[in-house]
Amino acid sequence: MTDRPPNNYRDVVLAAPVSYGYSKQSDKPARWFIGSVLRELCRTAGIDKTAIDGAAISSFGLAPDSVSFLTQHYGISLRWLEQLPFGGASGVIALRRAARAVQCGDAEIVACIGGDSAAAGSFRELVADFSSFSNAAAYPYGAAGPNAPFALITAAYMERYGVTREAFGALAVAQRYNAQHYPAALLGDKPLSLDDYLNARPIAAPLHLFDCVMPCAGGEGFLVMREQRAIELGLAYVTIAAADERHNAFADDPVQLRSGWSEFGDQLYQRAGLGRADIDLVQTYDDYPVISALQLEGLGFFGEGEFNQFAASTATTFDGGGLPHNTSGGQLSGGQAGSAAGYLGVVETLRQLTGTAGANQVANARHGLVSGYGMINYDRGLCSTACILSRGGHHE
Amino acid sequence: MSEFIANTQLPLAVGTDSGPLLLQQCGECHAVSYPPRELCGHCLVDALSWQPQPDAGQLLATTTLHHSLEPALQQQLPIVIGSIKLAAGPVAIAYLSPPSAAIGSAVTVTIGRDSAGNPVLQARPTNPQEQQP
Repeated sequence: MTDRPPNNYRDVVLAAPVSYGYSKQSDKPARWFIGSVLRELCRTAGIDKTAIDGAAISSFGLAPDSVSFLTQHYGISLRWLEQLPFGGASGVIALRRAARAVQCGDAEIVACIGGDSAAAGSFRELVADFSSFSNAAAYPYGAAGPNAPFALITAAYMERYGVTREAFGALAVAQRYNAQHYPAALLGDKPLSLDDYLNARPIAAPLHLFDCVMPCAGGEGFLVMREQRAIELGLAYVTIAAADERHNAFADDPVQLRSGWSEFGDQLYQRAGLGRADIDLVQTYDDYPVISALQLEGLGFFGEGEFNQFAASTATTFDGGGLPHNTSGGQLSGGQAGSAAGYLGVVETLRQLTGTAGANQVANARHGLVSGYGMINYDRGLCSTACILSRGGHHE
Repeated sequence: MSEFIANTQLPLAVGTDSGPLLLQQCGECHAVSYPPRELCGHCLVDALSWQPQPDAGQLLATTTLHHSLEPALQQQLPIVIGSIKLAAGPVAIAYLSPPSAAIGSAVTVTIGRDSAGNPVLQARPTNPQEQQP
């Protein structure tokens, strides 16, 4: 792979964070969530839908439709359209694709949206036919869905480094605290103590109840446009300091204890002109705490195998003065709304860096790191992404 | 019990309950591919066929499942599975029986049948003294 860095994202910004419609179950289709986010994006930005000429959309639940059919549902006419099937990596990939489209003039305002529903039984249907490798080589072995491969990764990580359940629990408990300050978090009304975490029933040991996300319905979205356009619209915005992605990194590792973050992490900070100490908040893709640990480790927030020490010494609550992490509660305390979960980290960081987060606002947040992870195939997730976003200069 | 049809694609003769480990191997570069696929995962040539492989492997991790999405399997919980680095090269997930092998220990892998009759990979400790108490 080439060492040549990608071009920068100068003049491109993100604006109009929208999270919408979170509920534990819904009979509405994914289209309803995506369309609702589109409407809220227009309302938030104060624009008519005709101003949007590009869209990047992710959903597990569109079938039999593709995103092209959505244009007719929503009565929109576009000149740039992407369907991004990258699960938990979709949000960062959407902003990367959309930023290039805007930078190169293929579109002026791109709506980036992840949305999914949660009908009774739909989660089983999704994971029972998730991928050809999963169907043949993972699901047959107990039909545990993603719990099985992530339990195996968790067990290997604990064995290799002596990581304790208390360390994973520290992340989960801090996220619940954050969720208690974010009204839309579906589990925000239920306090979680470390004892609650440790004493929960086993699901796929060493994973227990509070290691596993609750599938739910919901949508997330943001707009990508030129900086000048955001200023004209009077929108608070963030800039993209650096972003990167990998697919099937470290393919020969027998167990996934690292991924693309270890490969591109150093260059990411270099291109952003920032150090890890400059990062005021981090959002990781937390389908399981071990995956958050792999992202934090791969992106250099602690050394290899030092997760116990990190968890014991670093407050990850939004107001703890340490490293604010998954400041809206993440998926573990907010719910996993299918593909929307891949956009959650970008949207929450956008709220934080534009000072519009509400009760969970991180004080004086300037730079936020968003990490993504997606598409568990049979033994590992194949997509890894990260971006560093910085507070734009014209909204204060 | 409701039926559970799992399409593992593993070859196991009709009427037999177990058989040796066969995996797809490339006739061109001899690399072994798993999970099953259409083209060699190494050289991309269309030359895969099911060939006998060494039955040795090393246990990478185990999990005890207390939850299953398939009613047919829920009656057997808890179920123990493991991930295994096969001597033939690939990593595979297999049923583990007896379930008490330690991470890092040697396992022997064969093709057997699950309770619904699907051909599946089954692993057992190669040296029973390496089992955890």
